[in-house]
Amino acid sequence: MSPLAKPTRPAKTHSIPSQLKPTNDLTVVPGQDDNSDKLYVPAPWIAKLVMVWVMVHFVLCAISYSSSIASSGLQDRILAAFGPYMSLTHLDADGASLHFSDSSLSEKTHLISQSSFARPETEDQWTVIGANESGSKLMGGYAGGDRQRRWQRLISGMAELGESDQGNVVAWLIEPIVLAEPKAKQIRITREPDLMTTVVDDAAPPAYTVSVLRQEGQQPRLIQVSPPRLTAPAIDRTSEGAAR
Amino acid sequence: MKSFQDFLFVAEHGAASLRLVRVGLSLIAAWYFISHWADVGVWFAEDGVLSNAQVIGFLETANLTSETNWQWSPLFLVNSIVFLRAFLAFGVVLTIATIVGPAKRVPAVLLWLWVVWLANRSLLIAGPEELVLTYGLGYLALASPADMQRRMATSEASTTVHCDSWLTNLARRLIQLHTTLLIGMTALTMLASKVWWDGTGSVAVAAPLGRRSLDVSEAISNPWIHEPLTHLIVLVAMFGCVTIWMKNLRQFSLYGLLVWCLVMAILSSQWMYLASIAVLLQAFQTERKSIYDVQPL
Repeated sequence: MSPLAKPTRPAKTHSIPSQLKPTNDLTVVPGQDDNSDKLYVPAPWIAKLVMVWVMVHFVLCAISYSSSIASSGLQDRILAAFGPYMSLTHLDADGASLHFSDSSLSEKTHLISQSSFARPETEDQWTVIGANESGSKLMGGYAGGDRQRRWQRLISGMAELGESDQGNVVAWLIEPIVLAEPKAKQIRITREPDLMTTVVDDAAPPAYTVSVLRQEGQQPRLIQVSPPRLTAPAIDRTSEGAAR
Repeated sequence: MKSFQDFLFVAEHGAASLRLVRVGLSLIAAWYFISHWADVGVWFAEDGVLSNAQVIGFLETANLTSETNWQWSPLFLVNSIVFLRAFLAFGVVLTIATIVGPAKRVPAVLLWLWVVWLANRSLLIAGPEELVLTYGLGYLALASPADMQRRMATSEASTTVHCDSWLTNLARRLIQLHTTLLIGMTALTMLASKVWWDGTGSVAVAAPLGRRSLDVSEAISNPWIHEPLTHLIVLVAMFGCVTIWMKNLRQFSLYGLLVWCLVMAILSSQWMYLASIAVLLQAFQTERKSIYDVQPL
């Protein structure tokens, strides 16, 4: 082959083709070793080590990402075993929603409202925290923005916990909000209706409601308010009832 | 095994520089730090919603302590707003240093650590944007901070060719693999939900954000618009992450996935997350002259 011929790319080489070795005219930008082929391939033992790491690394990432929908016991055990590696480097998806939407209630816009009435009866007795007129430092940012998205993640998690009767867990997260809203006697989390919600969803009671009991010099006490149960009038099956 | 070794360490024919990825991801990291500025006290200060005491109480009550043991960050040790803001400000300085500073690895490694620590501290409020930023900056910290160029004597007098170190080639491959894995898993997890089959997925993404200024949920409420759009979103993600590895289809797939990122960003308003993916996809660009393309004297 003529040295002037255009070289074809060697399939399995780890160094620069010999006819392309840098000449004395070379400049290396910026300040690297000027004629060392070591730059192009690692030592064999390093290469092997890196290849094993790459394979394990991507298997773990794939397991973590697939767990964002649901995870098996095996997946959980593997991720727990590699917890230091995955968590310290923030590689673990940790339930982050990669699929953008599954139209579940948890991804709806959640509103957190406070009322200065002990037993609010109408909607106008509630003020949405973060709304312009509320004057609150909480729930800042605009709809769809990064700041609001962080609030939505927290409040949606609180709503889910509240609905699964874990009010004592939610209390840890809602306490600072109660302290930041000194006039609040009740706080609730509701879901905003949208194009994808049904009439039944829109008529659902708040996901979480809590009453605040305040006493001078003491931390406020929180009491979860159970949602009203759907009831129907009892049917009177006695002869008198039938006659009526 | 040998071909896998070549795949990881030897530069791909005409592989583009990682400069664009580095600049783009650093700018997004700056955006990430700045987006935390206003609320950092509300979240992490002593009386914050996610103060150390509240987070510990929450994790202990919910029996989640063991699961979050390793989600460590030095920010768990501080609760002063001044310190927290200084942390964010230094993060922004690191992004500038990574873009315009001397070509050293230190700012890149520090920037990765800064984002990881803030992401780990953002327990309960972190999302997919942190996931993409941390892996992207982590791989970039591996890469050689400068593009290596060699001026070689060739038949056209002198030509600049690019011959990156094996660490840079490894970083490029890791970014490519991880980003396609993420898009592929996105497509697969979409298929677990009915809305991505019945054509309402695009509306389901846009609908909960009805109060935002750029509300597209009404505009796509017509089934003739949202149904094909939903199917296209799934198909582009599913096939794009495979065809981008095929040389003949690479450019086409790359542009398809960039459009996918733009459409998903408009629908979901997750601009930071999708901008990060779009920047990382630039690792697939092939435009430079490779060492195998030059004609020697």
